[in-house]
Amino acid sequence: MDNQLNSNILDLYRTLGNNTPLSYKGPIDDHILQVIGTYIGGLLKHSPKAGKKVFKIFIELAQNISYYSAERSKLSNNKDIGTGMVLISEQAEYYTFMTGNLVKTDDIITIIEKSEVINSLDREELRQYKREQRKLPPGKKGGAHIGLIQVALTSSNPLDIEVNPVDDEHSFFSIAVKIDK
Amino acid sequence: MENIHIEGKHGVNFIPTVDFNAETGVCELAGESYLEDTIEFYTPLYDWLKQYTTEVKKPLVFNFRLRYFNTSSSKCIIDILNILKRYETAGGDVTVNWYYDAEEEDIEDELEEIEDFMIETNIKINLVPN
Amino acid sequence: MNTAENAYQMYIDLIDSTIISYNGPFDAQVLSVIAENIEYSLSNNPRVSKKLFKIFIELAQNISYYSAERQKNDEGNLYGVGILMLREFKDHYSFSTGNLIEKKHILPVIQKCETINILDRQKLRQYKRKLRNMPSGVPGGGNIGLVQVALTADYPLEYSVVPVDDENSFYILNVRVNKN
Repeated sequence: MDNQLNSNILDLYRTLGNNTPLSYKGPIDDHILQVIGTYIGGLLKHSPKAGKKVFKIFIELAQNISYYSAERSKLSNNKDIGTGMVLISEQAEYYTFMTGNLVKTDDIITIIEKSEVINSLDREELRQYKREQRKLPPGKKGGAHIGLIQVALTSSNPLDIEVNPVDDEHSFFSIAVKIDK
Repeated sequence: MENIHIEGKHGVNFIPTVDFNAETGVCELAGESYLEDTIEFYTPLYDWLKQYTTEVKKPLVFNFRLRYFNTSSSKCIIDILNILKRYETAGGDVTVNWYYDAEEEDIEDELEEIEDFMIETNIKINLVPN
Repeated sequence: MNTAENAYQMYIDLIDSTIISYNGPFDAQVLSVIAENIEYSLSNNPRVSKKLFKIFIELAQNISYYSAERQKNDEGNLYGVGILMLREFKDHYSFSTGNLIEKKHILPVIQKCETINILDRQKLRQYKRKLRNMPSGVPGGGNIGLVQVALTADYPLEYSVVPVDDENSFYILNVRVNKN
């Protein structure tokens, strides 16, 4: 068997480890939201508090990808859909919900700055920040940031952000959010 | 003036159930709102409220029974509350009720969000446990 | 894995050419959504799209039925767990699946793949008819799916088995379809 093909799926298997019950990479459309949402619905039964939070965080982050990812796919009725990754992993005390997608390098600094601001604020300050952002006139970029603020409020944990350059124009933006069980 | 009825969907789009009644002045928004295109969905609701508050001008009761909503829907909720606030300021009779499930896990988070709505729009929202 | 850095590692594993990858329970709902996405993603090439769709259904059902790793879904039904990747190369698409199998099943599975690969098209069709006429419930029945995959693909089946622990191995299957 072609060694490269073989090793890719094996690498993926090893990267995922045995604590990643679900991962997806591809176009993030309504149908995928529904399928993964249903899967998280299953989690709700074992751990209602965490399950509901995972669900809320999943919706915000997945919709961010579908709107803002720099990598797009054409799906049915030629709708332009953002492509990216979503993953759920489970540890003894918490779940981690992760997403990753390509962003334009020009937008990176804003995203990092916003994330740092979010991580530096306490709960009351975060709420205030959200109210301020929500008052701004509707603009696509603003929407993404309110989503991130909401994610931080819902998880009550800092956002774990990574940015890795991919080529001259794009970077890979990944975010991991812990949700206590 | 026509009534609006939209049956909610928990499925592909998480559409909330909408019931706006021009005769009784009772408006309800219930279920889940996780829409992708919130503006398209909510614009006719704004238009209806604007027409009611400028032409019908009778008392208006707005009942929220939302279990889940995303941040882009929360912006639309604020737009609705702003329309109601304007009506109130112009002398309209407005009651806003937010029904919540007191047994629900993490209800504090939801109540915090309603408090934020009040701070942002200056309208009074009655919190009603189910 | 539980950090943003791990997510980047996964991105590296998937490289640019991955159109879709999925890891999780293979229940009917997931199957239908991914199948739909495959169809749409490749709608500019109906011949290939149809082939990949057929191959996907067979491979995914194999995982759903036979993976040694099983998970309960929302309604309490058990589904096989596995990984699936669809990738695009210069002149072909490649479908890879990976799932755990019990050690005792390794040999029959490898033999089945070998048998399929030595048969030409006519013999494969004959073999498919033979398997189809076997009473249901006989072990190996599921491999009609594999025969169908071989008939649909443009290359022999590529497979390998990697030991994981004392009981299970990771079974990888790769299927290629030409763009033209």
